[in-house]
Amino acid sequence: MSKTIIVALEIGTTNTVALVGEALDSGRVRVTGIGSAKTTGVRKGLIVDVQQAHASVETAIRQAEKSADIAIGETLLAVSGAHVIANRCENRHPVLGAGGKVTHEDVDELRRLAQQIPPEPGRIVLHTISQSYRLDELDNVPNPINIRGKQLTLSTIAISAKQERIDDAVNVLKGLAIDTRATVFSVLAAATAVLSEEQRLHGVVLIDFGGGTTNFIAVNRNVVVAAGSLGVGGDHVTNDIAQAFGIPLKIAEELKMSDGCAIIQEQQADRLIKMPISMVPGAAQYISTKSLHTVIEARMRETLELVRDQIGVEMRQSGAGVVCTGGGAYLPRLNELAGRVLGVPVQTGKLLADIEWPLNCNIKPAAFATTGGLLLRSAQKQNDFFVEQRESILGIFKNSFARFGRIFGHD
Amino acid sequence: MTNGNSGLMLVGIGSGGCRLAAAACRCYGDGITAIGFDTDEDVIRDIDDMPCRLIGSARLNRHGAGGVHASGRLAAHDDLPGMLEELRAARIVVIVACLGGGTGGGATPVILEALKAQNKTTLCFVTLPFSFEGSSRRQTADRDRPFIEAVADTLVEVELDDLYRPLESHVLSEATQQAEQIMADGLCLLWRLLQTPGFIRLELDRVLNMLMRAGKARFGHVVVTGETRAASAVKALAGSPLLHQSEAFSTARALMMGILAGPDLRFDEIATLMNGLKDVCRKDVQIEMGVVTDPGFNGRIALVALAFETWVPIDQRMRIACPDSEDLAGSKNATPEDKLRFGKGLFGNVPKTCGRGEDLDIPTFQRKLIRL
Repeated sequence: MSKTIIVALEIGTTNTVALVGEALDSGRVRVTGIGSAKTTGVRKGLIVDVQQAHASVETAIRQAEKSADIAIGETLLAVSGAHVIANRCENRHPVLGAGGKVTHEDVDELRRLAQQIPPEPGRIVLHTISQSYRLDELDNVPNPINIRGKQLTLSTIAISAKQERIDDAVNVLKGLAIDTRATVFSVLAAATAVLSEEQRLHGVVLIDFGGGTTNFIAVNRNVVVAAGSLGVGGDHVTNDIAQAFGIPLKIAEELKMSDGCAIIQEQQADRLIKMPISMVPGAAQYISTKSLHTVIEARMRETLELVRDQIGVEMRQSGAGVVCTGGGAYLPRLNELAGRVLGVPVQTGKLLADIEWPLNCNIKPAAFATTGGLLLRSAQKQNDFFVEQRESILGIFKNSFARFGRIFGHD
Repeated sequence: MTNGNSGLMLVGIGSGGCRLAAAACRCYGDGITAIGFDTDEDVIRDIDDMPCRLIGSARLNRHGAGGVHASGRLAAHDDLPGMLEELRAARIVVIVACLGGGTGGGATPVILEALKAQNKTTLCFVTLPFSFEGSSRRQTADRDRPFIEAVADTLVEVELDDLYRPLESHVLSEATQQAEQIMADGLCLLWRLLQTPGFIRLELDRVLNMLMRAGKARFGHVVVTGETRAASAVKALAGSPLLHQSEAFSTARALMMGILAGPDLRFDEIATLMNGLKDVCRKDVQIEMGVVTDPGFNGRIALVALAFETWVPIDQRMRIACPDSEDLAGSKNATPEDKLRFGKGLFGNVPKTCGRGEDLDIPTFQRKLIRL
């Protein structure tokens, strides 16, 4: 029996990650190859130097190929960046069924209309996610078929991205003779990998703290109710530290990793950190822990406030709280700060048991949430968790499959 | 269309925005220059107090956006050149829109962004739906707010629940009329401060400096009468639901205050008002105020205030908010301190990320003036 092999790639601002997975019958996925490389040539999720980005992707892909012992010809691609935006739309359609009852044709026509809303010039719609139906004055109707009414309304969220930015990434892959089978908003993929059924039902917000972007998604009653991306990430923290103390970015990054904290720690306020002797002339030789934490807290607090503002009322309806993923999720005391700003319990994301990792694989799970989710999403294509919008999700896959053919296979 | 002397223009967007702008025109009279943009021909036909232009007619058949954000946005894109031509002579554009629908939420960010590209200063009033209108409208409004906030120089959010709270006991028609009057006074504040003869009159450039990148603001309004009207006016304003019962007042970094009164206004009343403000505001609050006397206000004092959540001194704001701030930091004349304080470092050569009217690539501690 042939095995279905899936490849997932994320060209992150800090790291490029490629995973090779094998779809199992149970809807689970077994990771068979891992490739990872430090990214260069990418800022805020956007490729700013094609040659450098090409080198990073090539390193990650070759590593993954070697560890999985396959040749990669096609991949799923995660996209993020401030150019990815979500717009809420409402689509209406008169009920045409006999006796004023809603028919499958009415629903299909409404969904067709929803898919047809044009994006702004220069943008492409990545996902059209159905949210809920309204039949005249009846709100949140889960299944309107055979219910009588005059006008059926479907709320959707359209997630769109700039065509040029997507093309940049696709062209880098083309340069390595790799086709892009589908493009998926990164946090949608991460949600598949870390959010449990219970969390999705009770309402949860997932925040993915990447190197160049912070992506978020709110899910309630298994329906995506908000999503978006900010062009602010871990690199901004590093840059803030470099600007604050007049030190090179490399040292600022090391400082963030070794002594960083999302909250000013009063008990360590007086501790001084000795800077490396290679610092730029004229800059301080010692900096205080309190100053460092002040810089980091200011940036992280602002980022969380921006996310909170964009998610709006859905934040209060997230009964299961907030889950943090991405490399930034490992910043000490981030969950505590996020809890204060967002007013809900916060935890670091753990990958679901649906993903089997190789033995002796020492990874930080939250940093692999996006690529792991891409694999899982593809492996579970027949039972996607967004029940309400299953049709549209399947539509996305259908479209993707139509364009890119069947999943990359390997006997 | 624009009053050449003031460089001010009032713009209503969407059905609700057009109605509020028209109400402001009714209240203020001929001195105000205004225009409305909407997608619904029926609404436009009903508005007599100012000119209105239909947008998106080719796409929407003159029937409105139907509550669809995308339709409002595309309508604005369709007719953007014509709209900008109407606003060509304005330096400060005061925009009013009601969020929760299609045209107000969809078209407003498009117009604001285009005005920003033309270096016009924008003060945007948006109303947020009543809570009883249901979660769908509120969610729509919450989605639209960040788009507006990212491109408006100053955004004033008015919760309809807060606006109507003091009017809950009034009959519907009277409450609506009074609420419209309050909003009209807010919208007309700049005209009153800049154009109406009074004891203290503001200059356009001072207003420009205040509005530019001021971020978010709250709007408050109160009218008082009686012997102790000056003392009770500040107290009433600080307790106004629109200002979140003094929270917005006590935390405001800057205030733009209009004192509107009849010719019977006394010197000691102005002093009482200003001293009262000091008691309820931060010690370092920056206040720009104007006093307008109008026989129509005889026997009463009206206070109209914009309380700004963020404010930075003009010199720093110019450097931080200016698109060329990186050039300043990188220029030959820049001191090493400048380079450290205002450099964007890693983000010098990529499109900037904006939020809350600020360039988010500039370190947060610099923009927030946090001392290290």
